[in-house]
Amino acid sequence: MNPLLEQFVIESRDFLESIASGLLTLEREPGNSEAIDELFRGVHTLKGNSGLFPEYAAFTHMVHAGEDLLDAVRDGRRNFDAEIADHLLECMDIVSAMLDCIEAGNDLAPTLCDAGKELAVSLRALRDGSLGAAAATVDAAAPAEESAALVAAEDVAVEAQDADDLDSTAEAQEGAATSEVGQVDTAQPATMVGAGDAVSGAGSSNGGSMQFRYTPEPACFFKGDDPLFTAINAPGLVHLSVLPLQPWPDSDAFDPYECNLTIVGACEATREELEHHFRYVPDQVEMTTLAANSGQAMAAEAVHEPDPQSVDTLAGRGLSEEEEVAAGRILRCQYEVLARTNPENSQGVWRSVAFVLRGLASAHGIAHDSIDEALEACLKTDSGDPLARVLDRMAAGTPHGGEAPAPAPRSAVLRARVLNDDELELVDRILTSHVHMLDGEPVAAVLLAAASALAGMRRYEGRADDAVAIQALGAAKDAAGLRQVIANWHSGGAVPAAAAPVATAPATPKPAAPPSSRPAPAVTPAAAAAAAVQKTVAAATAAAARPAAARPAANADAAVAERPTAPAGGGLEAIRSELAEAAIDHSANRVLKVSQEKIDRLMDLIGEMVVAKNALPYLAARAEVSTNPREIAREIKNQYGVINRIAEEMQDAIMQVRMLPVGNIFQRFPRLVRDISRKLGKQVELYMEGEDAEADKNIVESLADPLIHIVRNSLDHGLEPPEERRAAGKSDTGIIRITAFQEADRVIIEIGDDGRGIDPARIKAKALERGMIDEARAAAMTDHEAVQLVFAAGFSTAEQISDLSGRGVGMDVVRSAIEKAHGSVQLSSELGRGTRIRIALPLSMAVTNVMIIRSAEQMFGVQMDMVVETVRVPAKSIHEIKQQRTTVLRGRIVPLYALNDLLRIPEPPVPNEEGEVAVLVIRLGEQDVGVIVDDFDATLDLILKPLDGVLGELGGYSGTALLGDGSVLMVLNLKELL
Amino acid sequence: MPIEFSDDRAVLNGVCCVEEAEGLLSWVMQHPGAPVDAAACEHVHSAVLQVLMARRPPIATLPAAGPLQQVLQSLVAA
Repeated sequence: MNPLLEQFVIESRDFLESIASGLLTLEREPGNSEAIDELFRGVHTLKGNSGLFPEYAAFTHMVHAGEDLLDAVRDGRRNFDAEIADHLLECMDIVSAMLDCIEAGNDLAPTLCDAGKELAVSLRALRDGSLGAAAATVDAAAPAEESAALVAAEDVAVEAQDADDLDSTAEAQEGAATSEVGQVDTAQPATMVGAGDAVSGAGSSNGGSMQFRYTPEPACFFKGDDPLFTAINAPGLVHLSVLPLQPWPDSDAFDPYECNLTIVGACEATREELEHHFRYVPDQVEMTTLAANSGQAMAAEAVHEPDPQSVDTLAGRGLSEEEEVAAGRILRCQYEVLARTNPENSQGVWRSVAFVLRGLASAHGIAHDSIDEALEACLKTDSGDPLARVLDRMAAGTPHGGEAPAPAPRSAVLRARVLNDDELELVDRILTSHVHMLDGEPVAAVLLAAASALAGMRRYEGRADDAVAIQALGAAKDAAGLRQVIANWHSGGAVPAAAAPVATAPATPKPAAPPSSRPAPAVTPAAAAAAAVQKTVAAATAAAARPAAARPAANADAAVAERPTAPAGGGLEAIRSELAEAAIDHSANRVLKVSQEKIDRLMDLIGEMVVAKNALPYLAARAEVSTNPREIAREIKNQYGVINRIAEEMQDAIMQVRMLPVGNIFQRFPRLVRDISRKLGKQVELYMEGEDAEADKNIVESLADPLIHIVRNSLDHGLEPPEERRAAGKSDTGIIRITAFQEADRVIIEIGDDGRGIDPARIKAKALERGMIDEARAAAMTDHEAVQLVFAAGFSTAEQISDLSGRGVGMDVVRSAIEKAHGSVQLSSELGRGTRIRIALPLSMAVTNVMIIRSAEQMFGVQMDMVVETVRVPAKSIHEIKQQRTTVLRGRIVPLYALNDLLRIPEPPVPNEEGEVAVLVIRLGEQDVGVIVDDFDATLDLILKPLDGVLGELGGYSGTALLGDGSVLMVLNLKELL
Repeated sequence: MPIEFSDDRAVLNGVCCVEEAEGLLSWVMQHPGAPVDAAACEHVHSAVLQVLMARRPPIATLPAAGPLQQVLQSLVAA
């Protein structure tokens, strides 16, 4: 990675941190203008920095959207609320994930770019207006697909649009009624463009056909954009139309430098190529996959099973009147276009016509092989006849092929409409066809398709609430319910609640149902359309479900009922929560920031060390000539003293450098608490104290996961929902308090909540059930002891697994993580009053104080922090109780173990002359244990190296260290041995 | 100058960039009905195209070939 990029990543992470905390501050105090300014500056700089790297345009683009939104907030055009905070936090999560990609030296993952793009849209929508508008934007696909249920699939609309452009080529200003198909409101006639020779050079199909609609922003010329140039250079361009966005104003108002164009083009290119081409203006370009998008066509065919005999004709396919009119117009245009060919542009025109026909065919579930063949024939024979014949066949039997009805502009807003007679008739036809579809025992795919179609119709009528319920019925595979919906359609009867919603709905409804499951008599366009729009409906529902998911899911049932209907939403949510989690879990591998002073101190010490080192050659020279070894020895010891002092100071200085305030890991808690409490519908106040307490970097970082786990537990299990708290006579808002402080050579972190506490009876019952303890033990256990059982491996009291906890990673993992860092954890809980967890950790673990012991003529090390005392016990005070050697020390019974036995060394302990054995008393949890060794030796400060490689598999040792004489000391891990 | 203005016609040469739009607009306003000759034109900036689309001066000759020809052809047909 180049240094610039490296710097960018580091800085961006810092910005992310300050932005996240700024957002949380702002959420608490929305009026804090200082915080807004700060936040805006952060986002602005982040965007500006990212602009240096054009390869990460998606990054810049998304952050830019966030910046615009914040700008609106700063100017007071928008009020800062939780919704905005949610979106911006999500934005930062994606940024963080993108930074991971960048750091790993990869390109941005496409899923991230997509998520970013989607988010940018909602951010802009948030800026531009109410949340309703945001929802509408996200729902953009919905109106098209709603009408699709009535008119045809969206593709037709797109194609008809194209056809209209050609139409105007053919027939000058005939008034391309583009709005007729509800695609765009281009009230003005298309200025246009046909297809042309451009195509001949465009090459053959290399993947798919895409349509794009490029609507440059009005001020684009001032940014140096030339939309026409961009569009002309689109990869594999087949067809291009330039249309005015608004009617041209009269002469005075016309400003040539305000872009009023929308450019529609069709390309033989893949979506990726096109996206790459328009990567700088992704929000201004809409793309639709055309003919090659056979996903929809296939879905249509699967339900439809086209009769090979009538493959080419539109007649008899049960098209609605509106569809027939649209198709007829398209076909008529194609005739005219064909008629206008001249030798120079004929090839392009044919390609263009074939292109339009293909789109039309796929929208209606007709195979388009014959069209492709005809096109090839045309190109070969240099004559348009083959295509004309295909046109004839397609047009055969479409009565409205010749007349163009007055365009009926379709309002973009489809809310609570009253249907006209035509529509009602159409609705009835669709309903009838669905009654057939639901006959017998339809399979899930059919049910889903039917439910989607019905829901689409309800949405078309502006009754979105019903639509959701209908979708739920489909997901629950409730055929009877759907039948009832149809029966009650016009009476507006309530939709029956989805009976027993299936939580595990198929991730994606399979569009192609197995042949046997196809309801044979019900070959209807509605069914085809329903299947074709299936995917879009699902997507739209997902969009609709999204705000719901963001809301605290107070009603679990409702959430379950909604989820199956939005499989895509589920996936998206998963990605989101993963991102949020990643953002919270992040920051393990980071740069250490050190104050200048600490480095200066190190520098001074190095200087002293160099001087001390330079004294040694003099000493050597003196030793050579000196006759007094005693004096030389004294001088060497002096010099050792100097170097020792410097080494200790250096060690201390280095430790200082490695010291991190525990606040570093506290930073992520506000976000964690906010996200989770919102998700759970609990009100939680988080208090943090003592963020300044410092500990070694490794210690602080090893604390991160256990702490997150503990806080999650508190949020999920500890704190009650507001109603329950009120019932228990507590305030609605739960409190989580995290306190850190230093106590002697340990840093203590306490996490307490005022929730429901841990019920010892329940824990005992659970432990009994799992066979972890027996009845007698359970009866003898104090409450405090029972509560400690939560630390046992595999213990989980959660009745149901939520996505927060109960994942099998329990408190035992917390404990082992903390013990790995040589810390200890204690838990106390009072039923109904709350739980408190106290973690004690050493300040540093780089240098370990070790006591050396001897046994069987070997030296071993034991970590000093475990040692309680060393005693000599006369052999006669050692008693054997049930094969267990014990002794009494200050009135307490201490079990004794011989180290030789523990290490499987077949030698008895060696007592001293007085017949006493050396006993090292160590503390194991709550209990003192004696270890019999041969002799004690000195204590030493050592730098412990963990065992690795083959030795890493060995248990019983916590590491090795080099002694001054060069020998290796094995340091025992007595916890593991005992 | 990529655009040569005279009293009876405007000739578009080579690449007509964004700055030309204003000049072309005022010329079109002053010479209603006078034709535009685009035979030697390689590209028009979107802003210039906007002037042609909005004010509709007759296009006398089209560029040789390519997408630009197609774009401008519609203006001729209109």
